[in-house]
Amino acid sequence: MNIKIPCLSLLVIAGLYLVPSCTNDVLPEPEIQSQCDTMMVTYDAVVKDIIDNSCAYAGCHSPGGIGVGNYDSYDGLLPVLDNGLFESRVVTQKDDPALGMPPNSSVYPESAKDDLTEEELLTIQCWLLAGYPKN
Amino acid sequence: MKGIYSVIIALLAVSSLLGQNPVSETFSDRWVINSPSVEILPIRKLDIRITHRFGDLAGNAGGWKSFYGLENAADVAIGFEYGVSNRMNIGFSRTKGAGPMKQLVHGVLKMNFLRQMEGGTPISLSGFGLATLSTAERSTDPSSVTYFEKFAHRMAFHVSLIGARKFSERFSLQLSAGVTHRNAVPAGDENNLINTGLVFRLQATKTLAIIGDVALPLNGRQSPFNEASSPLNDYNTPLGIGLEFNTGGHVFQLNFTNSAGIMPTDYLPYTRSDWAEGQFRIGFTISRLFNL
Repeated sequence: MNIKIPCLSLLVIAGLYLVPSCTNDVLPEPEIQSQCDTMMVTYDAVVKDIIDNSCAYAGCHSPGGIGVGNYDSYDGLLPVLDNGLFESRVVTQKDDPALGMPPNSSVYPESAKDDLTEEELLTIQCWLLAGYPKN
Repeated sequence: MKGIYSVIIALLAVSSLLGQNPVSETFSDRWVINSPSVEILPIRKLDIRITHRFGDLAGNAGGWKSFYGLENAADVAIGFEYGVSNRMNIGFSRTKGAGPMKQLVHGVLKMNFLRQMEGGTPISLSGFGLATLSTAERSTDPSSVTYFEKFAHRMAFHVSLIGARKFSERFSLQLSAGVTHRNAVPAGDENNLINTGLVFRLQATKTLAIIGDVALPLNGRQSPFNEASSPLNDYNTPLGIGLEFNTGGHVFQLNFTNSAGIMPTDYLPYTRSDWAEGQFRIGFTISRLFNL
């Protein structure tokens, strides 16, 4: 019984601490729009190079590769652009070592790089925001 | 004289109630795969726990090249739980974190309200509370859940009410209802996720049981009932199945689950792995009890 009192006191103190530490905050949307205003991004001009080097190389999202689909052409990318999977994996889940694309080489030894550079990521985000134009 | 009889009858009634035997071992462990069970540690028992979830067994990230996920660790938990009384447990653990929140420390409080009795109370009832704190470095992206503008944004909570019944010596079933609260969520997400859980245990031999758990979010983008949840957000319901070996001194669980995270504040909001794509993993839990 003597052990219960200090433990219950601790619980009350912990409870008093936890109640004010409850918040209901929603984080802002990623601030991409303002950075994209000055960019004219199209698949043919910029994005194809990024995707060829980061996704559609031999062994991954290319014929015979382990990645789903063949991303070496605009038409090959369209299904995953339209259903949102491309944005989900490349942007939303980019920090996930297995699901975020490009994936970490610790998970996929075939992966040529773990992450897009900040500039490449911004380019992709602006391209998606503009409705992924081809040219 | 009548008064004395009345007192004796009343005492007999009370003693017969007190004399009912509680049903033991509805579950062998305080956790069934990823779900807290209705079970509670007796007073002064210390449970040292190590839980491990490997990488994807199959799918693109699994197979031979990662030795079926065994070369990767999706999540690891190391911690303890302790019986403060026969009705109350406290616990502490540290996990790597499988979702965007990393380097998590967890405090656990579990209370037992009701015990199933032989020929009496039909179910056992417990309450479970979990507070999680991320100790990871801050991100520089204000839209990221790891931006941690306030200290409170590092925290998430889960509370649930757990009811279970041991139907026979071989079969136990558990239902739970809970809320997972995150202090800060990405745009479009909800702070409070209401969820329900189902757990079963089927004793196959004297030392071996088959166990399973599912944790079903009922609102938010994580819910399979939410039209907007798929395919864009890629969320999937955490579902596990496994074997439990009870060797007396310790319980060993070997399981397969699509959930990468181990704790409810991690896997309820952030499970994206899909059984159908081979994104499930081998996991194990070792629990060893000590008397203090």
